[in-house]
Amino acid sequence: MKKLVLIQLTIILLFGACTSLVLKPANFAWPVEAVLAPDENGTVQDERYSVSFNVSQIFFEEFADAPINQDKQIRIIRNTNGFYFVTSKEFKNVYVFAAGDASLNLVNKILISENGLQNPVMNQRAPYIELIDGETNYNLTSKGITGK
Amino acid sequence: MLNCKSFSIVTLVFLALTSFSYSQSDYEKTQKFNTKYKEIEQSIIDAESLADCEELETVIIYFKNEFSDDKELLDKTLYPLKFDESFVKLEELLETRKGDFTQITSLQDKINSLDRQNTTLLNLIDDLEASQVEDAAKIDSLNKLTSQLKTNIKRRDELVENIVDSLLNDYLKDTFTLNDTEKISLKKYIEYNNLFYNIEQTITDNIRFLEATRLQTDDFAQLKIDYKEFESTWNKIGPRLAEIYLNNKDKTESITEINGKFSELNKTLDNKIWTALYKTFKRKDIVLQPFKSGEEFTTSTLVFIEDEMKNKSIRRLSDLKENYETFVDSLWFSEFKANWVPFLIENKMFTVEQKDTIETQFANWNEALIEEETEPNYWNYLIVAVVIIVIAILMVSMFKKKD
Repeated sequence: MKKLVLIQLTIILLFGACTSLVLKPANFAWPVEAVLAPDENGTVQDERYSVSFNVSQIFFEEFADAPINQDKQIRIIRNTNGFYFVTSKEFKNVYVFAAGDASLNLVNKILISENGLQNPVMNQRAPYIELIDGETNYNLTSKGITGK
Repeated sequence: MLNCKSFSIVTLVFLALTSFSYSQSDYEKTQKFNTKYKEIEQSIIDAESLADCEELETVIIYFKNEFSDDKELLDKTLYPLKFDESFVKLEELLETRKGDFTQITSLQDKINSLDRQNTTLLNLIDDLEASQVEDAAKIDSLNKLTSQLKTNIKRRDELVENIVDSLLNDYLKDTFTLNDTEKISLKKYIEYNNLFYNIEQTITDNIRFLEATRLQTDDFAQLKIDYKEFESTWNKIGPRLAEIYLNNKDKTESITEINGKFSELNKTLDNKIWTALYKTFKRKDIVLQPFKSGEEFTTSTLVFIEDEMKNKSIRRLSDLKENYETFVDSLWFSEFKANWVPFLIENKMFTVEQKDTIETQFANWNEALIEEETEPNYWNYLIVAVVIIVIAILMVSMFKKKD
């Protein structure tokens, strides 16, 4: 009998400690993209949403060993689920990040154009992020392109 | 010659008129708005005279109108102030700047300022109406401008009414004759507030507003109430002022002119109402003879019904029935009787007797249609008879040949 009580107590303690609090629904969408220029260290900062991060790695990914071009502006927007979509002129991809522990972790890299984007802009069109490049529109989610 | 400040304001007006938001990027639209907003804000700070401020009033109206289609987007993207709040801030900034040039902001200044805004709005409405395009965006823009103009005219009317009310309460409350000192004081008050000009201008503005805008039944009802109240107040002071200014030819003429303007205003509103009613029928393909009074409307309606009954033999029954159903069910009982009749009767523009006369004809009209439906179609019989005769002749001639 004692053994049984002990087992029950252990189970309750274990599962009780694992219970997490979930706040739903939550909407992380930014109404409009932010267009940010990196500083000499490759850090971009947005005042309205109080977010800053280093974009050196993305430039390295896109242009291999080319130095960071401070004239090149990064376009970033957050969708309703909280993923960050990042791209820029001449990028081939749109990068999708999730917020991590003082970091942005790559979730998906969406290939848009092998020749590089000419003049990309992103709009919030929940549940999608609309990417416009010239006359082409793409509807993006964190999983990829869902429609043109 | 234009000085530097005036030139930059003219440039702002030009930019407001010529730049269009073709951009597909929400970010660029927001940036464009913010840039223009900051330019206007700076121009207000840099304004060097009251005239500069007045020009900036026009710039702000054009600016607001230009971006009104993107209001929903800008409400989300602008931070910390939303679209309307941004304009309230801009207008407050302009008012404060105007205060730097004129210490006394009299009622007349406010009225003049609203006059200028109203003229700009009316011009914008005229331009839009003149364009050939008739799409949802145009109608939306017209509705927004009309709403803004309506608010402005109401504000202006209230200011003039305040002057008139104050005149009534302070000078003309009692019916006994004013003494000479009181008369001098009253005349000074009238001169200071430019009373005759303001009343006349208020009526003229309302006439222009009626002529330029598209209005709904609810608007008509409210305007009727407002105009009646205004005229009733004028009727209280008009004759007294006529007495006081008995020997002043200019003023006597002004009073007569104002009386005439009130008649013109009422006539314009009535015409607008009848035209709107005519268009209500026309939208459903019921084209009546144009009418400008309850009597003419009754005659026009009766003529229409009579024509429908007369033409029953030369038109398809389905068309006749469709017209009857549209007129009686969709228009008369669903729309006209519910939305128009109470308002028209209340304002003595239409009588119960006229309504009954028309409705009596509905029974005759319906009867005629039933008759037409049940009446044997002699033309069909005739055609069948002709076909039978032709077949018979053919058969007879064939048999004869065989023989």
